[in-house]
Parts: sequence; structure tokens; C-alpha cells
Amino acid sequence: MHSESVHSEPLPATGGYGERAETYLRLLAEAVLRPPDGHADEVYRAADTLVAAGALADQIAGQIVADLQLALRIRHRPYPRQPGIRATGTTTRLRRFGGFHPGQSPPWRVLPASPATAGSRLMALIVTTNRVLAPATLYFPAALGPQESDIPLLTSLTGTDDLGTGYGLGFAGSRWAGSAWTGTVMFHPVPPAAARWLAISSPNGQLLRADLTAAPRGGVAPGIVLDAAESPGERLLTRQAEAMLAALAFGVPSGHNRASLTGAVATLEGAGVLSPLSPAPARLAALGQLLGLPMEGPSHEVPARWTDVMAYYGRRRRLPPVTGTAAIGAALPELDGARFAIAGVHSGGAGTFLHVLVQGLTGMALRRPSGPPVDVGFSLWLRDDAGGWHLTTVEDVSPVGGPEGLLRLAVLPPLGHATATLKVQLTGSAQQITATLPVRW
Amino acid sequence: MSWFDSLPAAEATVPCGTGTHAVRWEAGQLTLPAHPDAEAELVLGALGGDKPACVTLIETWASHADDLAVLTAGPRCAADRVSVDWAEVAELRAQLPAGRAQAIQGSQVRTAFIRTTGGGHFRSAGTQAASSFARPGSSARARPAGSLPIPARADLLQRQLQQIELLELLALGPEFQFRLAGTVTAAWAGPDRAEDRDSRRPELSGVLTGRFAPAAQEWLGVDPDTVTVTPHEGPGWGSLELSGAGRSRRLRAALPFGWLSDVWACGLAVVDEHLVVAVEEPGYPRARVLALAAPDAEPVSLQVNAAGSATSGLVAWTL
Repeated sequence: MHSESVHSEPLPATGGYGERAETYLRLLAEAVLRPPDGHADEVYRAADTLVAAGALADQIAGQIVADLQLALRIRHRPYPRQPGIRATGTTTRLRRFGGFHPGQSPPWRVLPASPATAGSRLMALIVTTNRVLAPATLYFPAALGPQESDIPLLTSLTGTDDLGTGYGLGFAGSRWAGSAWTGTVMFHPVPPAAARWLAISSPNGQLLRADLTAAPRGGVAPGIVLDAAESPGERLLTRQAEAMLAALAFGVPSGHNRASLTGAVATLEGAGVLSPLSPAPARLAALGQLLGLPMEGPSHEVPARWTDVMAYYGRRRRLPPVTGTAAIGAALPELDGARFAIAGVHSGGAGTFLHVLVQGLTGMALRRPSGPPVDVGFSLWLRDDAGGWHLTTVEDVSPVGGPEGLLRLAVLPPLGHATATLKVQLTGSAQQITATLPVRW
Repeated sequence: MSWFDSLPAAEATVPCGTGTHAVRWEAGQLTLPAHPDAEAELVLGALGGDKPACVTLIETWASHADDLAVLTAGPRCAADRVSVDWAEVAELRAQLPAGRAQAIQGSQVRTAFIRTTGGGHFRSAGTQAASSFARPGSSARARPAGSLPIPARADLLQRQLQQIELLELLALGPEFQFRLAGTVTAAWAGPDRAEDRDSRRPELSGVLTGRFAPAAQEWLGVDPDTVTVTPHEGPGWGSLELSGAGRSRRLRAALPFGWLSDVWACGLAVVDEHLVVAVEEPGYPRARVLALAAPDAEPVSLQVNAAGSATSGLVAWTL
């Protein structure tokens, strides 16, 4: 049906792949309408696969599915009402951290954290258009916390600057470990230009002071932006492999099997977003075989970084994660119409977590549901200064009151030592960024 | 000469008030024998007077005269039966919140009716922007400058309303379904719509393939799932390429979008084992067409004669 809203979202930045994918899905829907009766489920699955690959906008996929349902209905043919997750956005709550116009939106100012002091630790100070975000670990006197609920304790905190201005404080992504709270403190409004520092104080005294005069690191971190070497289909299969590795780490079923892989590959090849000569399907099958899934593939195809992750979680005794909070504070160049700022790392008994501010990312679940990890359309790998690769997967997503969202990414395996640098490799549907960032514990 | 010259008149009855009224399609125009001055009734309706249901139907036909949703829902071939019950439509209408639906409908449809030069049908001047997809790059379909975005609820209601309107039009029966499809495809086939067609290529490929594939099956016995058609732009009737053998036989075609109105909607796609690729002289009950006897043959000019209107809604033709 016609609607103004259907194509109002930006189309995926995948060159000619979008047109091929849309044509494929429309022809598939036509085939379902022809006798002998085809199955609408096939169209739903293909729509989900193409949307997940970033080859097709979910609004267009949803429209094709809706058109097919109406066409089946008026032919008195069955039309399943379970149109998949991505095509309708009804099964999981998806949102876009939007409002971002690549190259036009005001840049964030990412200020590096001051040198570490005893007690609380700031990862970075990120100044957006209407607030300041401070991912940090705050250490409370043992007498104060933690409590059953962190709300009374956090509401006793106040935000001020050196000019005596009071700020409204908000809190996102709260996690307690003993009397230490890790999350993001939000100051609003944005401080005046003359302010030199921001402070968070409890009734017992100052917990954290953040320097506002530190020079931002030249806009964005120096990084290499390349067009992704893989096609959207290969990217999707790679992300599925990463989801299988994350499932291994979390000890949950990955939800992948031979039939789902075969179906996805057939769709991607049919839509022209995966070459029939691509090694990606065999690589994914080989990983599945190594993980004990009923798949077969040549084991030499499995990349070294995947085996790094498998080797760690295959051990009976694992090295404990390093303990501490580290500041990074770096904005990355724009990637596929989204932008990212790496705030820092928090590590402890529960694992290592990377804190990232993001805007313009589609298909983001508000919380990671229990079960297999959620595919959010990008891959983020870290390499520590000892050469070890670490996969990251979204553990938690926190809206922060504006168009931005804060991601808490589980680092798999966790960092085993206080690495001095992290090589960040972020890959979207069409582009890849590589940047080496200093890490200050 | 117009595409609809190859079609005879058609008539259907529609519920109107407590009874039924006839709706007549002839030479590309929808008329109401029971309401000789439908346009005046539309004006009165817009001013707050009662608007008979069948008069509203004319308005609805006009507002969907270039709506591609007609093609994604409507029949692909004579064997493809689309049936919509008037009672179902009435039930769906009854589920709409009356005041809101009227407000939205009223804001879209104005009474400034004009006769379009190409199609000869009624068209509502205020409808085009509101009833269309806004795809980037399609300037003709953009929201009017300065207008406010429609709130989500109103947008949903508007979509429901448009779907009900579409179902009403399909409820007119097969003859009207093919004629409406012809009207829509003719609206999209004009030389002034080349940019719009370019921005909607996947959709138009689907629409063409969905209708050409059954014709190719009838003509060559080819598996319709192996047929793909892309819109052809520029001079000439297009091209056909049959490749492979047996189960791997594939047919690729490039046809002007206007093939759908000129040929397919008039029931001319396949006539006595010939694939019609263009109409040289439209007419009813006699027309002159350009047709292929085989995929690798040159098209030849043939005279075809109507053999009566089939119950499927499409006219049958013979050489």
C-alpha cells in the first residue's frame, strides 16, 4: 500500500545491492502468488536475511511482506501472521538511535579523562549538543552502598562546576560490584564555555572531578576507513559466526543449524549479495563443526581470531580478567552513516566491558534478551598489545535521553592484562575502520 | 488512440445507500448512470452534503489511478482470481473511527477534479502526494513543501483507509480490476514518468514479471519462476532472450512498462500462440498488434479479433 513513511528512512549504504535485494524479494513474492501455492514463510525468511545483511531497508522489506499478505488474503489463501522480526519490528523492540545526518550533525567533543586518581575513575567526557556524558566507575564509601536499589544512593549525588553551577544528573547502564558503581553519569545542560571542571559529589564529599579544559583529541581518532572487503552477504555470515562465538562464551545455544545456514546462503546468493564463489559459507560451516554443530567445513578456513576466542572458552581453567577501569576517550570516523565514540573499558570478575557511545545505528534492541546474542549490524574486534584478539558483543543498550545510545559491549575473551593499547576494528555493512587507541588504566 | 481503445465497456453494480447502483467503465472513464452529474454531487459532498457511496467510489478510483498498490494486489492473469466481498469492505469501514477517517479522507481528496489528458479518467488533484510513497529522488511524490509530518496514528489510519479503498475497487470484479490495472500502468508508462520509473525499478520489475511470466508459460510452456522482466526504456518494443534447456531454461525479457496497459490489461498478451509485444492500432473488436511466433523470431504485424469477454475479466482474442 502507499504510505509516505515507508521510504523515509535512509536506505542501506550498500551501493547497487539494495536494488538487487529488493528486486529479488519482490520476484520471490510474485512466485509465492503463482500456483502451485508457494509459502509466504519463504518471503518472510528472505526479508529477514536481506535486512540483517544490510542489503535492504527494513521499511521496504516490511512493505513487500504487507503487500504479499494482502494479495494472499484477497485470493483466500493462507498468509501466516508471523512476518519475522526485522520486517515488522514487532517481535523485539528495535529502535534507531537516530537524528544523525552524516557529515552534518554537530560533532561530539570527546575529552580525554584526567590522569587516574585514587578512587573513582572517569573513562571519558563526551559533550553532545544538549548534555555531557561521563562513563565512569564511582567508588562509594562502604557505609553508603550498594543497596537493594541504587536509586536512593544515586539521587543523593549532585553535579556542579567550578563556577558554582548546579547540573541535573541522570544515570544509565548501572552496574554494581561491591561498593563500586559503573555506568554513565549524564550532566545537563551543557556547561558554559568558562567552566573548567565538572564534579560529582555525594553527601560525604566529592567522588569525581572531570577536567573540561583538556583538548579534544583532534576531532576523531586517526583511523583507516576502508570500504569493507566483504559483500553484505559475507558480512552477515561473518556476523553469524561471531554470534556463534558469543553464544559459546555465554553458554547459550546459538540458534544456528545447517538448514538455517543453507536457507540464508541461498537467499543471499539469489539476491546477488553473496558470490557463489565466496568462502564465507564454508568458513561458517567449519566454525559450526568445531563448535559441535551439525555442519561440515574445512577447518583451515577458520580465521585465527575466531580460534583465539574458541581456545579461551575451550579451556577448563581460564585466566581471570584484569581488574580496573581504563580511559580511552576517542571518537571514531563515521561508519555507514553511524558514529561511535569509544569511552573506555571496565574490567573485573564479571568480565571486561567496552563502553561506546553510538548514534545513527539501526536495528538496536533496547536490552540484550536472554538467549543468543543480538545482531546489531556491525562487528567490533579488539586486539590487545600482546596480539590477542577479542570479540565484542552487545551486552546492554542504554538510551541517554537524546538521539545517542550507550552500548556496553562484552569483551570476549576478557582482557587478561592492563593492555596499553587496543587496536579497534569496526566493520559495518559497507565500511571498516581500524584505529589503534591508547588505554590508560 | 489510447490503450483502452482495445477494451469494451464494462458494468458492475455497487451498494449505494439502501440499494445498488450501476457503475460503468467505458473508454477509460467511470460513469454512474444513476448519477448523471456525479461531479456536482462530489462538490456538494465536499461542502458537507451527503455523498452517495457510488459517487465516492468514482473519487476513490481517481485517487488510486496511479497507485502501484493496485498492481501488487490485483490479478496477474486470467486464472488469478481476486475476490473481495462488499460485506467485508463494509465491515472494515465500520471498524474505522468515523470522525478521524473522514477527516483524513477529507484532507486528501479535494473537489477540484480534472480530466487527465492521457487516461481520460477522473483524477483528484489533491490526492497524488498524500497517497504515494515518498521515495528519495522521486520529486513528483514528495510531500508538499511546508506541510507537517503526519503523526504516526493518523498515518496508520490513513494506510488502513487506503487499503479499504483498494479493496472497494477490487470488489468491482475482474473486469474492473484489469481496467484499473491498465489505468495505473498507463499513468506510469508516460514519457514524463521516466524518472519515477527509474526510482522504482525493483517494484516495476516485480509488477512486469508477475504478469509476463504466466503469459510466457502459456506461450512457451516455460516455468514462470525462471522468467524475469526488466523495464525497457527507449525506442523499440524491447527484447527477449531464451537460454538453457530443459529445467534450466530461462527467459529474460525487457519490455516497456506500457506493455502492461497496451497489451496485458486488454487481454492481448498471448493470441493464438503468438506473444504480443506491442499494439500498433488499438481497437475493439479489431486491433493490429506486433507479435512474436517464437522467441528468436522477428515480430510481425497481425490483425487480431475479439472473441468475446471471458468471465475471468480479460477479453479473449484470435488471429
